[in-house]
Amino acid sequence: MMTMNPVQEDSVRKQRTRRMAIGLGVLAIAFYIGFILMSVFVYSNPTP
Amino acid sequence: MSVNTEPKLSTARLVARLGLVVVAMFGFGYVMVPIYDVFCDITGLNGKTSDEVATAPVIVDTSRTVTVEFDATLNEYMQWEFAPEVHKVTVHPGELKTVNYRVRNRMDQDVNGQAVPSVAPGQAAEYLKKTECFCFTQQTLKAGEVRDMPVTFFIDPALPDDVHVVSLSYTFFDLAKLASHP
Amino acid sequence: MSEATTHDAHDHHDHGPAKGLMRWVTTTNHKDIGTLYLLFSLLMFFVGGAMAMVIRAELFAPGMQIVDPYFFNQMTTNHALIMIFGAVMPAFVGLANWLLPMMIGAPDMALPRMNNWSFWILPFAFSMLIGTLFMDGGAPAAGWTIYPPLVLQTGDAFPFMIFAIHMMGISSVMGAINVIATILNMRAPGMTLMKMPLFVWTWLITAYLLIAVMPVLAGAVTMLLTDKYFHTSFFTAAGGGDPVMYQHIFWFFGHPEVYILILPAFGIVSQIIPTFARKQLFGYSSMVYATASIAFLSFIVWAHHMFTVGMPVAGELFFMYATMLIAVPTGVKVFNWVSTMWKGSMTFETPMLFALGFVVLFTIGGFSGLMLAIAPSDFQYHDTYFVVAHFHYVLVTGAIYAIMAGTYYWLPKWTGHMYNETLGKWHFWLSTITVNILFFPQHFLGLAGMPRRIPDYSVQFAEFNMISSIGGFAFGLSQLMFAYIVISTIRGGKKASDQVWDGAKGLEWTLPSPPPYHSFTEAPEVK
Repeated sequence: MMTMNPVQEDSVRKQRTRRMAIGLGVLAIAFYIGFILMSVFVYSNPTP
Repeated sequence: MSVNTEPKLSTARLVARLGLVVVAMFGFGYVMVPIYDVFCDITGLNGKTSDEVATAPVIVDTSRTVTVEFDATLNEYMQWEFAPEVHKVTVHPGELKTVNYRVRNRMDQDVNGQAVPSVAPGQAAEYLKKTECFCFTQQTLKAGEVRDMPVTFFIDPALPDDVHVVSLSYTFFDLAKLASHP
Repeated sequence: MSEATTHDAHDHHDHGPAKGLMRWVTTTNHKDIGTLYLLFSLLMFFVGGAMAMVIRAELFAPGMQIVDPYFFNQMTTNHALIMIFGAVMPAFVGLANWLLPMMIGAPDMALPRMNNWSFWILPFAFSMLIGTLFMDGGAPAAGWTIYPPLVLQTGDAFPFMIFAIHMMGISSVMGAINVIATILNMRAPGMTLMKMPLFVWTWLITAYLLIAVMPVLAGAVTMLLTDKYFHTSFFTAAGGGDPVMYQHIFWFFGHPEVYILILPAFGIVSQIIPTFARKQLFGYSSMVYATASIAFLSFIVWAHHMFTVGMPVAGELFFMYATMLIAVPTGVKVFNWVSTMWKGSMTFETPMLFALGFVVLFTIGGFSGLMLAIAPSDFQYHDTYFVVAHFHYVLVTGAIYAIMAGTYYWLPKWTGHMYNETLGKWHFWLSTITVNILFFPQHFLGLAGMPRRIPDYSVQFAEFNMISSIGGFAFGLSQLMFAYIVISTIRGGKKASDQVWDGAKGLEWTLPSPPPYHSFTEAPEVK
């Protein structure tokens, strides 16, 4: 901290953390769901 | 540095004790071998059949049948031909049955072999009993010799009801190759 | 002092003999030896990583294109042996050497000369192992688990591999004895067991695991050796032995071994998260007991690696339930980390990012482990890429992420220089994105039935293998950033304060950065 961030108010920090967590969480879930859907496409049986 | 209030071992004694644990655990690795064998003997797990000659059964359970399948395999270095005459038989538990395996030595020299049996499923191993088997002893075949080797067995009537098929598999090992090579 | 230290270490590895080389050979200082361990493990990380690149290049497309199958098998085998015994384990021992005395208020390790020996065995062990690549018959290619009878067909490399494993074992056992003696006998006054930092606790438990199971591995490989050269029949069916017995002995070692690879990682993460959440670790004593329970359970679950060898139902059920039981203490740990962050005042410097990446991605690996623990479904997953995906999630994004988190966290303390935060963040994000592209598709490949340890595969696996390989190359390249950041931090950079991180607690932060050659010549006061 000493190094990069000027000391910030806790509440500002918490607010930012929450936004970041929600953003990244949505991104990560989209990533994994996208991948899983892709596997469904790749391995679904073509209709004969 | 020993300003601590708790009583403790001197470093030398602690290290000696830990060294003892190390030696003991090295030994334990070896002790696992006999433990494992005894465990398998008692429980008949792992498809190991008994090496002992069984006595012929008295009762035959005609109420059900069991299919016994035969399999033959050669170990990496073995230059024989080896196959059962029939691939499966259906027997009643307690019924005595003999099946021949045909063996031919393809080498131009005498070969000393040992057959090792295995039974699947593993739980059935202790119920497959042999009164006579070429796997009980080493077999020596002259160059080019052909021989029929019998195995006489019965299924113990105590075999669990849910087992309907038992596979008996033999692997022949070349004992000379085994000793000289790996 | 230590600044000079790390300089020399670097010179020694990069430019051959430098002035004062003998100092590195004969050193008994815990910081010098810690540095040697860490640099050695960094080197091995790249050697093992290069092998992984060969593997992913061959698997880029179906068909055989770059290497022949036998060489491919040598790559998978040696990649694993080098990463486990050469990269992850020495990195943890290096961290222990640097940090244990500083964390418990001791001047050095309890057995400094043995410490020197346990490090200097390693370069010889790995020269021997890597040297087998150039031998007649090539390097060992039977997989890192070296199952007989396959491994007995190894050529000239066989005895070299066995003795290399013996030496690695001796090195780790000596390291472990040293750790236990240091922790039990060298603590500063007032540093009771339940006041020790969690990294110290997890290492104490790991050290006990090491002395309990490394000798078992030594026994198993000795049996292989005598089976091949001295006509014993431990694992040869014709002589009354049983190859399955090898699997039992091996995994009796192997399962505790995987906890040896992860428990110190738990310790590192438990140090970092409280610092950047600016809160005390939630549930300290439950963390200690959870670690001890995981260690205990690790001894009674080994057969879950071999559900398919033919076990009675009772055995499968026992090992299945015992394995699932491990999820309980592990869950305690994950929830404690999350609770530590709850309502904390968090900032996200590189160590914290890696620690958070660890918590999330290690948990994914833990869940796929639970899937594998279910005996009936394991018959489908066994020896497929699902297993590969599982253990790479727990080892790469688990153990290695924790090692990197720890390196970024303590590097300013060790060198007295701040690393480049921007580059560190880039390293984290590149690694985290690419590692998921690398390993996540391998779950699908495994569920679709692609077997592990094969150089060629059928075409339905082509898409995901290509994605995985692209992720693999990108992940491999990203790690060059790590080497660059570490080396440039050793060489110079912004001065780090003694405290370094404003939320950091513990004795090591009371020392100057870099710390003096002998940490606490006078025992500190512990409240």
